[in-house]
Amino acid sequence: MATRGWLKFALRRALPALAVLALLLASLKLAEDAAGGVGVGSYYRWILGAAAVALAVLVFAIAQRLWRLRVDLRRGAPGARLGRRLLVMLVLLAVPPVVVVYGFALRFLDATIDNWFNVKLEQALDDALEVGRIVVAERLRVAEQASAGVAARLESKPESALQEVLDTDIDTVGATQLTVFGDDGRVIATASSDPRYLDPPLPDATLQMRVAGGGRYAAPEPIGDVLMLRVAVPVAGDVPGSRRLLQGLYPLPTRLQTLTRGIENASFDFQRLKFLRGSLKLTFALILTFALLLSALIVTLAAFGVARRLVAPLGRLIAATRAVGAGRYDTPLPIASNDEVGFLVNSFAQMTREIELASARAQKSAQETERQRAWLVALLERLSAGVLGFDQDGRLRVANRAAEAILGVNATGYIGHTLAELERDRPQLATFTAPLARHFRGGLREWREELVVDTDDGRRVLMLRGTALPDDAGYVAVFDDLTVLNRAQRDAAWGEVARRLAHEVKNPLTPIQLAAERLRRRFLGRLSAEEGELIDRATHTIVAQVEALKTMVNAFGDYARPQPPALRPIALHALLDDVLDLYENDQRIGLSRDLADGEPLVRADAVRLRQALHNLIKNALEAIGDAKKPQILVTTRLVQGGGEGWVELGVADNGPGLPPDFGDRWFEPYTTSKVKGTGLGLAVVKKIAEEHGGSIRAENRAQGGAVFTLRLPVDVAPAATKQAVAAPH
Amino acid sequence: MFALAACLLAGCSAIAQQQPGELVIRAASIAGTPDAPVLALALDCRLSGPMQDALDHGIPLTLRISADASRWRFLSSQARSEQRIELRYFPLSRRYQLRDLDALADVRTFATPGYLLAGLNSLRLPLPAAFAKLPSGTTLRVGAELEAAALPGALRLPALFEPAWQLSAAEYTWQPAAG
Repeated sequence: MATRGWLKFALRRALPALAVLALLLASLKLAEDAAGGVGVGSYYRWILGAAAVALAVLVFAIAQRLWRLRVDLRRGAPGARLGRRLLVMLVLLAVPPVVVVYGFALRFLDATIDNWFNVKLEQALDDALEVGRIVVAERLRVAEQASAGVAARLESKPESALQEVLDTDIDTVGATQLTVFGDDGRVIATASSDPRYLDPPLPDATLQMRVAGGGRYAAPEPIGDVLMLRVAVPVAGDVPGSRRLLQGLYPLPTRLQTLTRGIENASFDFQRLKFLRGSLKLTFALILTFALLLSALIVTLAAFGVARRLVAPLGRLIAATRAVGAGRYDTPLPIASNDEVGFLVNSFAQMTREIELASARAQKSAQETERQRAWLVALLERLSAGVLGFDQDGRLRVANRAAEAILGVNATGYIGHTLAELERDRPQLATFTAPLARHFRGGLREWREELVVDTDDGRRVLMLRGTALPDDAGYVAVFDDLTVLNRAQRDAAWGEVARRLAHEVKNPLTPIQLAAERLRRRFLGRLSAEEGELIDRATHTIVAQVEALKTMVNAFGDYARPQPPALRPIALHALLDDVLDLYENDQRIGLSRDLADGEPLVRADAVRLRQALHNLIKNALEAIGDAKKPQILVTTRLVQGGGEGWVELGVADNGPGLPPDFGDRWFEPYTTSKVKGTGLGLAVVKKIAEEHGGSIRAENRAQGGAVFTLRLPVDVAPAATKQAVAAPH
Repeated sequence: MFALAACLLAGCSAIAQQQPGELVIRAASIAGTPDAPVLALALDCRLSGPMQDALDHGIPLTLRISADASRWRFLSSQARSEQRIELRYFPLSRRYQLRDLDALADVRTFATPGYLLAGLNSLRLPLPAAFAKLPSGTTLRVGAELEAAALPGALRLPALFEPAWQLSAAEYTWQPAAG
């Protein structure tokens, strides 16, 4: 990790800094070298290469930072967009001035270098050079004459005498060196007045050719660092036809030497600069470009650094804000500096602490509220009474399960709706909603009312109690289903009646019947025909009525039967077939059946179920009467309701239909519209249905007549059990 | 920036059209005495236009002559020498000068640049004594090139990139007789 950290530091900090330094030094060195200062010589290409590498490093460093910024922007890092904006602003602020300065510097450089080369100055330098040449030419003519004199004195002299002449004349003519060369280029004699010029410069081919042509050679020549006048003249040798060469080096006077050197150097420098003008411009432009790039890159790097320094605490603050927004209050905050950002950080920290405390309090309160709500919901769900809560506007807010069960409506689906909307969807509940709405409007604090409501499961008697909540918070309506209670009370009463009838009435019937039969046997033969007939009719009536009373008492006995039904899986269609077969052969009855597919199983007491079926058929036949041929239709169908399966057994007739006031009370004992009925048939059917967890309902058919539907739960016993079920013969 | 880019483009175009100079080592041999060996060197030289201009404007051109004696290339040298020859023009006397910078006394002047370059045909450069005592089988390598480092600072950039400022002779090798 340490190595990685060091490498990261080297790549991100040290390397760019080194590159900046290298580029700066390279620019300075190149500028110094171009201006003619300390030359960098053979290191020039290395310096140029180093500058290029430094530029590449800086470009890479900036590209790396740009890439990192792009990644931060893409992942939405806190402060990334602010950093980008700051960076752009800083670069826009810094780079244009640098570019402007660069442009002006280039222009200024160009103009300055061009101004060096003044035409008049060049002309003056050329003129001065020409003057120098004229002066030198004058001195050259004198030297030529002197050399001609020396040559005349050397004419035809033997080689041995030449040195003496030279030694004598060198001081006379003021030469620095006099040398006589032979035909073969050999030095025959030489004399020098300056020890620095002991070795005579050998005449080159040009010189020899010119002298050989009969001419003379006289020219100023730079010998070493000194301008000398070199004169060469031919000299006749001591042997006829032989030729020698006298070469003389003459110095210029010291003052003239200095002046000519100055003129030559000035002209030289001017011409050199003139030649280097283009290269100088190019080199300085290159150096300026380096400086421009250096400045731009440093500015960009610095802008990155400044933006990062400015944005970093804000970015961490933004991250902390997000964390606090997400409910994490333990996010570390940046260290507060002694400026506005520090103030912001401190304020944020204080705000976070307060929010954390408030949030904790709110959370605790919410938990407590939730606990209370859960408790209340549990309480409401376990109430057998229906509870509905309304707001001040009469909109439903709360409904418990009992309310849904009693009203037979999905009250949860009406949360937020008004009573009017509920009534519009379920008009049969108008007898429930209308009194409620009336009480809401009435402004009573509490009210109590008994209602009769028609639901999908039949007519129900409800005891409705309502209360207006304090502070105009709404209303609560609590209602109990009295239907079952009332029915149970009536059933219990009828059961008691039936039991007492069976016990108190049935016992004396047999002695009455026996007594009547004995009276008949004893007195029928002794009395006159007229009196006998009277006795016969009277006793017959007594016996018949006692039989009728017995039948009725037995029926009451059935109704009040205390034994629980023996439930077991029954194949309903098989049982129906058994019962209906008894009526099949009766030509007076038209019996038809429309049974559901398959064989629905019900868990029932077969004897009781047969009794219920007989009662329903008997009820249908009695309802039809003798007016027309009875048409009985027996149907079964499978339905779903309340999350479980049901089988509905229907017995329809072609009778006059149900009376207009038909209701639940018609299923109570001693309620009948038929002349012959006991009023117990439907009561027994209803009791059997309830013993099996089912129900009985009656309705008119569209095509005429009525249909009584016995609803029984489908047995959900395992398949193996069902296979074992046989028809209940 | 645009001006600079235009200059660079124009410069590149001009560079492509420049004719480079030429430098060839025609002959080389070890002469002189065993105590004072001399490198006799014959150079054929033709200056490019910019070089000739520079010379005529008083900018000296320096040729670096390197001599190396070794049995195998890249192995340690048995003898090595590096000399500089300066070509220079003097406007007052209108003379071209050929000078061995390491032996200041050896100065030759010429009236024309043609004679100056012809003077390169007969160079005699003093060598260290080691060159006179080379064992047999030793290979002598002589190279000659324009020394860019000796040019004025302003000319270094063109000298680095412009072909007209490239002047370098192919290496001349031979095996001298055992000394």
